[in-house]
Amino acid sequence: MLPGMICMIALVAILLSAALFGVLNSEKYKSEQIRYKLGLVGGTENEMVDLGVHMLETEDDMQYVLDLVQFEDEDEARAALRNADISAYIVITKEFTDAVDSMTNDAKLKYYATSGQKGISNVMMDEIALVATNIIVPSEKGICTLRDVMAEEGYKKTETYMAVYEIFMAYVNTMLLRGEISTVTELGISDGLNTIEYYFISMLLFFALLLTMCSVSFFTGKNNGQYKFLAAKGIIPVQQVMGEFIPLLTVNLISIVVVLVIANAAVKLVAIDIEISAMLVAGIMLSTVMFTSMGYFLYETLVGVINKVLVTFLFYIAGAYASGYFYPKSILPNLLQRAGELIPTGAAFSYVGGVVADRNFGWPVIAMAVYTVGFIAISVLIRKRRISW
Amino acid sequence: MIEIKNIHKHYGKHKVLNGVDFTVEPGEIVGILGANGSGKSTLLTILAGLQNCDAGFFNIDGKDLLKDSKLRNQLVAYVPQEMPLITELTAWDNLRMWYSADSLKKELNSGVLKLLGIDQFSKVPVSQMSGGMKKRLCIGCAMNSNPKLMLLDEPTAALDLVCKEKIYSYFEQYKSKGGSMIIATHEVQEIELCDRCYIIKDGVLGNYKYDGDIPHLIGRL
Repeated sequence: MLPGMICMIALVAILLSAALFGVLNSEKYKSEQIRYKLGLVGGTENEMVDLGVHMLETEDDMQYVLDLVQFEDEDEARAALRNADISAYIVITKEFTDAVDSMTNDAKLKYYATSGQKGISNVMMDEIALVATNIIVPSEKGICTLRDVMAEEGYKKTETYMAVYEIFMAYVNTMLLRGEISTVTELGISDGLNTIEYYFISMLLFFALLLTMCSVSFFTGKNNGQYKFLAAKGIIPVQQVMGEFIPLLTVNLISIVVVLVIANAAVKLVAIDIEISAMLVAGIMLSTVMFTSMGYFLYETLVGVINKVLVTFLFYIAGAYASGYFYPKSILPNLLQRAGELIPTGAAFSYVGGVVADRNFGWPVIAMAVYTVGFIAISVLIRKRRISW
Repeated sequence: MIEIKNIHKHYGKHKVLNGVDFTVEPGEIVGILGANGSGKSTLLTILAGLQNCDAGFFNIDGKDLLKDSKLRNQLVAYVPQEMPLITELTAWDNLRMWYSADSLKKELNSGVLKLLGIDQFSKVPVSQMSGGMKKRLCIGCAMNSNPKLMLLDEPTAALDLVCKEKIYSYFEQYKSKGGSMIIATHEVQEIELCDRCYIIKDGVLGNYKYDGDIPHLIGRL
């Protein structure tokens, strides 16, 4: 019994590590980590354009999606674009900077992009144009206009400096305010979880689910004669069920702790951005309690070894699919999504996902407690019936 | 004195036991005969406390065992038809569930387990035992509380003659020490072992005296 269980735990740990490695090396995960890189050619000699670029990099919402890369000339930027080092580049021409300085509006930025997979979207282009034309250019023009008008009117340099400084600070405030209009929220792929968190949780839960099948047959599935004999000795059905369930649960909890320890080591080894907190561990453990009661209930209800294994496995797979363990359940019809949340596998996912995403996880805990008690209660009733047969 | 009075039991509309009455004296073996589904096993499971009856009494020395489950567990041993052993464990490990280590050693050396011959295979896993060894081990497990009454549901069904003889030999010794037995059976040898027999039919118990006439017995069932 013990070597079999150790082998199963080792197998689960290897599968978990392999799956995590697969997720880390997936294109989807990698692409999620990439921000658009936008090349900039020229414009750095103009203090106002330079200031605008600086503000875009540090104060504007665009800082979260854009990496600005400065190039000496257009050839260099074009080569970078060909190598897919950048998604697009903007040429800030002398005409443009002169137009900014002379307060005219007849020069435009030149924008170059590829139409490949890493090309910047039309929405992004519009956003850049919006920032440049509606905020940076008019604001900077206003500052330049004030400076020139004051110079023409014969104001002293210190007075001009103070006035320009004042309007410049108003400009900075405007930019900061724009940055505060919205807060950046990482929506992730589902339920506030990013890809790595989502699949880390779903895989852990799925293995916790499968673990319940590993050792359950050691504790259940005895013949009715044994149950009758125990009952005749004064060991009533509830004692019989708990006498089997508690050791089974202990084995499963030890197994899941081993899996978590290995997962923690794997996370550190490959530097995955997820924290295996005490709350997460508690969540997985509580889910294991419910899964164990569910596995026990299924094995107590079903008759015949092949029947038990097949039906339980199919039940688990169906539950895992419906609850979004393999893919976000948003691909499913609304009714099925709702049902997928309410079934035991869904309640466990909502609970553990809520722990990781820092959401309210009250109802899933209650649902899991109800399921656990329900599974054990029904198992006791089935045992009682078996004894009286 | 063991008294079983007016036991009634029904499943839905089907009356399985309809006022079963009989007594068992100390050192007596009573056989309950009947066709399959006649209610033999149901009667034994009621007496063993595995299910409730609709009405009736089951007394040993004036104590109502249907109400006092603790006393019943102590005074009554039940050996079901199916094997109640844990097959992954040895005879010793199975017995340890019911005996303390000291009493187990004592019983294996000179007590009931010695009489059953379990001392000869106490280290053998159940999965490697013959049917007779398993049945003797079942009886050994059931006897841990030194009961006054044994309830046996077809104890030697499907066993060879040698195994049966070992078990019957133990029954005789148990009987000689004042132990009583109620055996639900189809086996002619077990019927011959009984001091009295009853045939259960349509939920009612009728007296029966076995005289070797098997066609007559079959006709009564």
